[in-house]
Amino acid sequence: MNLPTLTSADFFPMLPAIIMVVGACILLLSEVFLSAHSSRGYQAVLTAITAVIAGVVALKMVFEPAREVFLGFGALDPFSSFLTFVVCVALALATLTSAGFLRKRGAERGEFYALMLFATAGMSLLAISNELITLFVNLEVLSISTYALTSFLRRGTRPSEAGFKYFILGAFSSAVLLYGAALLYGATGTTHLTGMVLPLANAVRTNPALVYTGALLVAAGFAFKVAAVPFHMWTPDVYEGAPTPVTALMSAGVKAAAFAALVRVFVTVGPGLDPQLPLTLFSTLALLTMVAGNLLAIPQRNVKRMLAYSSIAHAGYLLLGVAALFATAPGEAFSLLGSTSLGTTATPQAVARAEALRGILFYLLAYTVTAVGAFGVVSVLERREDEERGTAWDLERFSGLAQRRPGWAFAMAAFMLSLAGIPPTVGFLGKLLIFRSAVDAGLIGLTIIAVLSSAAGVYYYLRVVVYMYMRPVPEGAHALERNWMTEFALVVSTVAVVVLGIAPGPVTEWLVQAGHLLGR
Amino acid sequence: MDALKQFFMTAPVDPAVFAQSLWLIIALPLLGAFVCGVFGKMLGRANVYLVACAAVAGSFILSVLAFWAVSHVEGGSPVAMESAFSAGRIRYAIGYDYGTWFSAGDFRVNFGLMVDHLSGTLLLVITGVGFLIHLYSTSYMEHDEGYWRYFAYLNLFVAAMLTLVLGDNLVLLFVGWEGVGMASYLLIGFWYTDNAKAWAGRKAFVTNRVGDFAFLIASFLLVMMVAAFAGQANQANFSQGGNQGERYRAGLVEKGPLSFQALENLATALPVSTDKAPGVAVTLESTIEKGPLAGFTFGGVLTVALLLFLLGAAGKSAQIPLYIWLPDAMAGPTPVSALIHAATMVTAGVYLFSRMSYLLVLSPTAMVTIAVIGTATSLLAALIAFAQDDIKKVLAYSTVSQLGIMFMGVGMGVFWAAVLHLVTHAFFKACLFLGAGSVMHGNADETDIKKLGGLRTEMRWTWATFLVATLAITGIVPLSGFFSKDAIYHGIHHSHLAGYEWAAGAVYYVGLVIAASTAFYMSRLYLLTFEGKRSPEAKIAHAHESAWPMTMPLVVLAVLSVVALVYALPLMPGRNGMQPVMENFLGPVFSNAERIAARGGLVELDRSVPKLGDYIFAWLVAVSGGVVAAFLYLKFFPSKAGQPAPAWARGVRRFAQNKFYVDEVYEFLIIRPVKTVSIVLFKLLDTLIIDTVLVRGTAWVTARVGSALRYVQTGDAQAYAAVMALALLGGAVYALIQVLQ
Amino acid sequence: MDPSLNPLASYLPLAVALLLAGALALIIPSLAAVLGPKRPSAIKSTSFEAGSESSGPARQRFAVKFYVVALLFIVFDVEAVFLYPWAVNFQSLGWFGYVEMLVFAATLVVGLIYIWKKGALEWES
Repeated sequence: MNLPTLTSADFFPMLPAIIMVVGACILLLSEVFLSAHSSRGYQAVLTAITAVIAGVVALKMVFEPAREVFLGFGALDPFSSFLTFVVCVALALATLTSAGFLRKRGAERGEFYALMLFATAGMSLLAISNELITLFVNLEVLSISTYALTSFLRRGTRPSEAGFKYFILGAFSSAVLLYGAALLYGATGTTHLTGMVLPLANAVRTNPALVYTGALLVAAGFAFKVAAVPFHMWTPDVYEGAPTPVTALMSAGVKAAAFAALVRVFVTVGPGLDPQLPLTLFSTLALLTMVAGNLLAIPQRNVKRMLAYSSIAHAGYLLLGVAALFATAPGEAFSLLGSTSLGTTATPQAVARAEALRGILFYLLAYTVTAVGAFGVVSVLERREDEERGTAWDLERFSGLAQRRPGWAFAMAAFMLSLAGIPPTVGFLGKLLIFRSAVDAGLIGLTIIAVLSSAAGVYYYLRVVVYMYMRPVPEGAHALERNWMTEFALVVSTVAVVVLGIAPGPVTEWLVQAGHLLGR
Repeated sequence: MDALKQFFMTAPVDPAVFAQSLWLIIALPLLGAFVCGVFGKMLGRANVYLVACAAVAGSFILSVLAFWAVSHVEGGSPVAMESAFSAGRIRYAIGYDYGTWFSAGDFRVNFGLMVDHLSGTLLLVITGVGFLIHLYSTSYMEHDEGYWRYFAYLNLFVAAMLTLVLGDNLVLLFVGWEGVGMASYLLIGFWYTDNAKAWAGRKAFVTNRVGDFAFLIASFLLVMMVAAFAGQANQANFSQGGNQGERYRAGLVEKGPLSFQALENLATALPVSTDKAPGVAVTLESTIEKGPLAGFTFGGVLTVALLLFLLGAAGKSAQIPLYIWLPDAMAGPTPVSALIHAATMVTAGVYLFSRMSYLLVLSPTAMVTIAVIGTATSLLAALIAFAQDDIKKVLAYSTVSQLGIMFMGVGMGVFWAAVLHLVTHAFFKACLFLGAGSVMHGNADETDIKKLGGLRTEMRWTWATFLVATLAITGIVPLSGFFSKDAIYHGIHHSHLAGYEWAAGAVYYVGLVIAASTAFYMSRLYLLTFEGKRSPEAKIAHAHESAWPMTMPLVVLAVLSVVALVYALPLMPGRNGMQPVMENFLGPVFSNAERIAARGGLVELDRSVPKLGDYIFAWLVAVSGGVVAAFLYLKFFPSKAGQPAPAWARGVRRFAQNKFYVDEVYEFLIIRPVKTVSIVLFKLLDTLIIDTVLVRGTAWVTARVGSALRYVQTGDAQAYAAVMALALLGGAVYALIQVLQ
Repeated sequence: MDPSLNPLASYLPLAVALLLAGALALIIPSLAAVLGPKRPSAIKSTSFEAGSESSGPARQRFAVKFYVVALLFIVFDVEAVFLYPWAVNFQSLGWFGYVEMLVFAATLVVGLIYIWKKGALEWES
């Protein structure tokens, strides 16, 4: 029998995921030996430490040479490693905010953190999946964990409604994705992404309907996960109903992982497809998502819901970057600075694509630190009693926050400015990179719409700042409890938002490396 | 002697190692600013004094080490820095690149710091004089409640100024440039409850912004020019400086187009015309082929960029047309005037042009403009100073005038003398300002020199130091001011700018008038304040001498004003016999500019040393001004006391007293029209079109659409799934149509 | 159609089988409906419950513990499914396969400990 040989090098890219799974098992086992009243403060810390270790390992791996592992089922490349780092950051920050959140509700349990770790492990594995079935399994690992997390606080109708909706619609989208994958397999006879390119080029000629429908369905499955319009409908309801730290993890981590898989699938099989197809597809999705996300966020007075719509809008900007990956005719890289590609020997396409990849990665990192921080502030302001009435996240909650908790208000202001894309925050740089790569790719019209819609977005972000700094403290406002772990997470996020906005230098070193996707 | 030489040429710390710690020089005062600003109130007065002074003192010690390190010579070869742009090494310089600060595509800015003899000199002035002024301030601000704010700002200023000087690229320099502008704004308006003072701060800020804008545009022009040059230049260009084109382009990728090395190598590789350097692809006369600047010549773009830099420098260094903010800036505390508005910040323009001397010598037009602007400013300010009665205003106009002299020097290519004058001026003008502060402190904040007088006996230390500094600025042998000013004048007289042969003579002779005027108004200031009898209108009967933290800096600065003359003495062996110490010392910095000038032939720089006759002539000019003042204010006016002055004299006086109505002319010609136009535009464009139609209109439409879309969000999971399915169907139909086509 | 050109073509027999099965499933019940005689009466329309009187609606809620047991059964059943082919190839898989299976089993043991301590295996609680 001819057995494939696997070496430890094959398991190496899974290291962050393995670390997280082991951590999850430890938490799960330790939980069952605790009584209901035992102190569980260490659980969040343990989870955060696990996430940090996994993140550091991932960051180390950014400098590994890109290669296929596990007989081509996985791909170790700087892109996936950096993405793993991003989801680990999301996990660490979300975990720290959840400790206080759960304690207030008497719901601190090891299962919660174990599920968070499982979900993140799934994200990490999704980023390295290089084969459709592996990809699907990992997508399900992360999805099922998040379904469970969404309805973790079972009491009350909102969480169970949210969990149920997410589960039903998620199953629907998974089915769509699986169907698309099956069609692609039918067209090419393989599920390996790298092996699919050549047969796909044949199949496009002989059986275009099959290929196009397959690609479309796969894209639709991902579009659901990244909450792209018109596959976004679940987002506000689920984000609102889920425990706020879980919402933070979903909006940052799940989105990042889904984008990773989306980019990998379409960039890898792209050469086999008519290049016009992904371009049209993602341009359309980007257009709809940016515009609708921003428009829908404007009338929201519920900050958590507003952030949900904002997350949709940000998915739109990211899709703009994805569309830029498939630009067929990158313009003569005209930049205002008038410089010509100094010292590079790569083709304009390759340069433009690496730029776009870097833009997407930096944007994901920027959005992660900002969004998780913003949800963190939301989570410290809400109270369980108001959730059923839906007033827990009303803008009024932010009135006069600057006088009551200047630190929180400052952090929230920084997050809002970053989400709005105002310098000197990291959000501005992220937008700058994405928009720049889109302009370089020749998507001028779409970029103009992106700029205009993000300008419209400034309105609802700044409204929060106005409430915090220019409204009086409402009478009878309830006391604001402090929690050192949450505040630590807020400090870290704020520092990241500001420092990366001013001096992104160190990160760009990694980014330059991470712009490299296997085989591209 | 040799042992001494050996001592100074051996740095106590390995220069290469020390280079990595350069950031500490900036970080210390920045940390001080942070501590004072955030915890100042908690720490209390004494601790804030300690933190602020210690921060600057630490920075001073590090600066001394840095200065020492750049003079390090080992085995006959001086310390040198690797250049990213060429195979050559930069001698007498250390630097360290802390990596990318930001990059956008091919454009990149690194956080790189560099010390050479020029920036080393300025480091010592900034931290040394800065420390003395911090010390002085501890006594000057002893009754002020906002002491922590004050020291936070002052430390912030020092940090920004150090960034300006240490940055190895224009962007970092600009960060410092903006930083000092902000610190200056904060300190001018330090007593912000006084409306006039707050307005003075605002005026300084706005005026500076005009210049900063020009600075930015000039930087953009340079970026585009460097990119065009990198694209068009051939190997012959680079072989001019023994350089490789590949290396240059790699350097651009590594350090970005705005690093000084990039500009310096560009200047080296850019000959004046093809007859001077056959075979090169790019000269000053060739046109830019691609990019937004296509069609313009390199020389033209360079001149425009330099003229824009001149506007920027005019804002910071108070030159025509942007000098008007400096006299008003005297609203700030006096030590601030001494540090920011006399010794350091206002010399930023001189530093900028000295730093870019290699570019300057490629454009005689820019140089002559700088020289003429400097001359005109200097003369105008000197004339206004004649009639000012406020002790600080006189010193302010005197500063403007002296800065004008430095600009004259820079404009005529006597870079080393301009820098020398910058240093000596920092000493004696800081001494004068601090002396004025001491006078005010001891006389219940009286600033009108007509209401002072006779302080000579009552404030011995202040008197003595003020006298020394006055003699120095007046240009009396053997004080430093005489030598530095004379070095500039001598250089101007013997330089030539191609196409502007008249400039050397014209600037020189007007310069003599300025020198005489300086002597006159400074003597007047001194005589009215310290000599004669105490004015009957004085606020208090007897002045009191200030405490030691105030007098000690005065003494140190007075001593420095004398000792600094060593720099101007021809003690060092040079190419044409002995040359002044400072010229020799700054030689490595300006040698490239000299080489480029000699090669291009556009500018002829003079290297001769003044003769004894030149010295005597200059001395006579200065003395004559002083004597006239002494005669008028000690003999003539006291004897005519009580008699009304003739009408014409009063008219002239009023004219000068009102600063020749420049502020009013600006008000009438620029501010009013701009205001009128802006009000009309505001009413028409802003309120009506933009606010009502565009902003509120779009907001209204957007909000309506958003609200309408909200109804799609029913909360019904089946409906959600249906929307997704419909979207899929739509996509499938679209794909099928595409396929069928 | 040449199967090498379109790999889906080889699935044609499967499609035919599916179609036939579906058709049969539709046809047979409808045949009964069409051909069988229909004489409804009140007593015939009542639900049939092993001859005794029907009590309450047929759709009852099951206790959640049934589901838990069912789920656990599936989990360990699947483990057995994986164990079986591994055991068959045990020789050729060697140490690598052994360690691999140990990890797999250990994961399930973690799950077992968890459900055990959580009390999911206790019927009465």
